[in-house]
Amino acid sequence: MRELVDRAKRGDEEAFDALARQVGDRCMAIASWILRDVDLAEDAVQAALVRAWRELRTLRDADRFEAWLHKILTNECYAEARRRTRWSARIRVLPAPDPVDAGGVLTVNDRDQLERAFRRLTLEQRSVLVFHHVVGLPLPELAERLGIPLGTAKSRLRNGTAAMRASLEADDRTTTSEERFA
Amino acid sequence: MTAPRDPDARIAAFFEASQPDLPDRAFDAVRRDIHRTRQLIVIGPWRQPTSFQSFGFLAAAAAAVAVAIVLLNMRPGFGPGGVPTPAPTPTVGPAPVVSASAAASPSGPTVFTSPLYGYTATIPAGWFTAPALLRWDGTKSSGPDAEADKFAGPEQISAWTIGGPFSGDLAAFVTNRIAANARDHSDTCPVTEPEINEPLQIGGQPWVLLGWNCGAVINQALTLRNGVAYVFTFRDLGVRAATDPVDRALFLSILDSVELPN
Repeated sequence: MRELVDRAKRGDEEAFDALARQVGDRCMAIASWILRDVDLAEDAVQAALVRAWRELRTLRDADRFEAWLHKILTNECYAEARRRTRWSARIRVLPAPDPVDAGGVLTVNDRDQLERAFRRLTLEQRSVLVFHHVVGLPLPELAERLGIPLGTAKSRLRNGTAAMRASLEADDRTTTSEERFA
Repeated sequence: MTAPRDPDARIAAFFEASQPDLPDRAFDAVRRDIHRTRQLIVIGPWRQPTSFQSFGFLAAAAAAVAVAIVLLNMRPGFGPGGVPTPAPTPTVGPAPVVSASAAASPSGPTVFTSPLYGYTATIPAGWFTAPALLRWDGTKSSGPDAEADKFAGPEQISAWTIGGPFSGDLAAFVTNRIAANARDHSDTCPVTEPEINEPLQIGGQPWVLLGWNCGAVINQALTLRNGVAYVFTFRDLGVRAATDPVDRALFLSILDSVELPN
């Protein structure tokens, strides 16, 4: 990847195209998670890639390309979300995910509850959860990548997780109570 | 009764759901867009602060500039580090505090008097000006740093000027600046020789015009007078070439107005 970044920094469009194809799907996954909308996610990734091309020469360390791109992408996601507020008619939500989950841990009901809870989080909380759970970043690196203080990253993760956990626990209580009276 | 299941495990599993890939049409769109999008030029210290062209930056800079100029005028003849530097005699006395303020020229062209370097130049209407805070030492990078008088024009056009001591002749100074480019800007402008290197005569004063092809118009006009070397740099980030007829005419018109101190 480093060689492609270096070539792209010198204006090589082919190299940047190859670079985009290496990182594009991962960016799409991140944007889809943050925005929960396929079209908006696609627009955000496109905008982020074009902005990355434009500003590529400001990137000092080619090895940090993906981290740098993710920061741009997150900002583009926020921008797309703001545009969504203004042009809500364009919203097309994500199709329902594959009902088969990892190891049978999740029921369809769990997934619905979590999806609803996740959508109620702020974009900033979603971003932290996504970079933590989907990208797998530890908190210090996550904070650096998003350009936020570590304490802020911690509180966003804690509050976001608490909200999602609360939705599951509320549903569990309802289910248990229904079982008791069955 | 169902045993409670670990909520954290379920949250982790939730995030394992696959997401859609970026479709080919998006890659195609990016490819088309980058073909039409110029990369920002970052030329080491030549890099212009992104906010330089905004009035906000200049307005904020004005106060700092005025204070700095006052302080510098209290220590005439001293450059950065307290080392005396042979600099051109300023043509203005206490007035620099006034002319030093970063400002936009009003409806017509205005004459800019450099508080530190003493030259005057006619700046086109609407351009912003911000005078140098420090004297150039004649060796550092000739970028739009604190040592440069800065001029921000329309769109992506800007210019800056420095002046400092040089003991050789004009040819030696040209060689010096070409070497300085290789030294200071090899990362983003790796050309070792300028595409344009031609002599000019402006008001009987010999100059040399250099044009660098770094993905944008970067022209430098060099001259020497009384042991002081001057570098006038013109940059247009909107043109991907070493020269452009419109830019060249604009730059030459500014150079034609330059009056160097005697």
